[in-house]
Amino acid sequence: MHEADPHPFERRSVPAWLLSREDYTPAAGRERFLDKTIFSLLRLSALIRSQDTYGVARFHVDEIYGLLFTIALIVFLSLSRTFTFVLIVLSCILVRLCFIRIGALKNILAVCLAATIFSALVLLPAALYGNTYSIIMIPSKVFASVALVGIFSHTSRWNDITGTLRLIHVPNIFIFILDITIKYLTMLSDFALSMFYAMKLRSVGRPGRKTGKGGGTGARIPRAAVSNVAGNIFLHSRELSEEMYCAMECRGFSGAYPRTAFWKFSAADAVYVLVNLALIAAFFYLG
Amino acid sequence: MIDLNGISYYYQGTDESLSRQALDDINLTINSGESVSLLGANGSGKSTLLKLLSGLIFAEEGSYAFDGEAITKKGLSVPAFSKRFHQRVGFVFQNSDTQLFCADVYDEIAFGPRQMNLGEEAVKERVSGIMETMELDGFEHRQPYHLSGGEKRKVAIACVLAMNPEVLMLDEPLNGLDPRTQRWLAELLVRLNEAGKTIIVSTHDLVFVHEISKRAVLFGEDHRIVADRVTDELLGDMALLKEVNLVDKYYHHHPGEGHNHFHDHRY
Repeated sequence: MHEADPHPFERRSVPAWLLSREDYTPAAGRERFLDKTIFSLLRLSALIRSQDTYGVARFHVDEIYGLLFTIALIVFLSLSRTFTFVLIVLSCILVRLCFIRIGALKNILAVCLAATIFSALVLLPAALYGNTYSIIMIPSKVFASVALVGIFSHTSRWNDITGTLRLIHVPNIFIFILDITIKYLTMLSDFALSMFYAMKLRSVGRPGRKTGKGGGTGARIPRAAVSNVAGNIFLHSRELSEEMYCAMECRGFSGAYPRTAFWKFSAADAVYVLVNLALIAAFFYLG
Repeated sequence: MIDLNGISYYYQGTDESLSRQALDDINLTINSGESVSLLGANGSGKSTLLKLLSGLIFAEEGSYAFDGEAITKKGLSVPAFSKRFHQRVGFVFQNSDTQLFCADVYDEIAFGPRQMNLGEEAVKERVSGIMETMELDGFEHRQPYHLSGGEKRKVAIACVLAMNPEVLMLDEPLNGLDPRTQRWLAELLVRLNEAGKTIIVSTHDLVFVHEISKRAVLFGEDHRIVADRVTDELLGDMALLKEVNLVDKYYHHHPGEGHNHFHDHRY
């Protein structure tokens, strides 16, 4: 059998250039695009993965209370007409931020400041016309609202958040789509990262002219190949969704998506609920 | 050629408490023309080491020198040095899907040679030569995404070989390959090694290790190197392989019986 049917590779020759050492000197030239893209994807990936483990906040509040009171406080903040109430909420936020680790704290403050500065810029014309109250009140409310959302998202696992949605009777299909989105964000960002790594490893020079079909991957800067990466990610996500659909069919998926979530109540939850109830009472007292 | 001294690497989390160690105090020297297998259980650090050797990640502790030159983040920020290094060190990823990003197989293989500014005639010659070697004749206009697993792996290897690297690193190259393609890949690696290429392969397949490499480096679950020996000698140390979870009472081999193969005792 072995003599009559030699392995096909044995009939193939290896090109001479592959057996000799490559004499290649790359041209000088800086290409930071791929490095910047890889760095952004790494940051995104680290952010998503950090959701896997508790430990961002020094004490953990159950997601159901976090979700309910975050929504409630944002509504009361937007309805409030007294700056005193906003200041009280801001003080409580400051105390809460003290219990958050430095990495998460930086992220929350960066987003809050960006949103606050943007809202202040939008309101600047009103201030020039004498409405100084709005330029203090509205950016303060924006800061508080964004900080509340930031604290909640940085101290809660996304999976647990979607689980608690069930307790407030959000439809199953909505929770299912959210869960799958979170899972696919991780998988597709890892996929994209590997593709950019592969592109970086093979970007060993600067071709002088566009030689790829349609100026595609042979372009001077691999930037043009990014569209191909995006296309591949789209194809990959479609394939994953088809496979998942088949797997769900095989497991008898009938549209129901049960997520188990239970009410829990710890000492941290008790403090959190009491403070928030006091804030709501302050809203009704101060207006 | 490759010299690692006291390398440790951690995957960073958003803060220190979420960091995870992947490599611990790795000391390893690989000479030009060697064929080395990296063995170890899942999560022992083999893939991380390959990423580090290819300059994709950098160690927090220890040093890495390639051909006498330090490979650091700062060093690889110099474009000419970085490009030359990446041309000399080829890396075939575990998942071929992530390595193929062009519209068709021809453009995919031509990407590297075009980056090297070879000229379209030379590129064509190089692409057709490597396609013939890799049994990819007639695949020029096929879309990489629609190829089978084995064909994708062949294209991914062809893409790297088209740049004619001195070091070829493959991460779990047998994943998803049928036995015939596995045999083909083993023979290709042996021929490339005989031609002077340095081959570094990370794998769990002990038969494949025996076929392609003369030296095997074994990683423990504590992310350290627990053995660095001649392949036959390492594969014969059942107690050690058992300790790092690479064999069990069902899957092992019988040394000293005139042939070396691992087999399953359940059947």
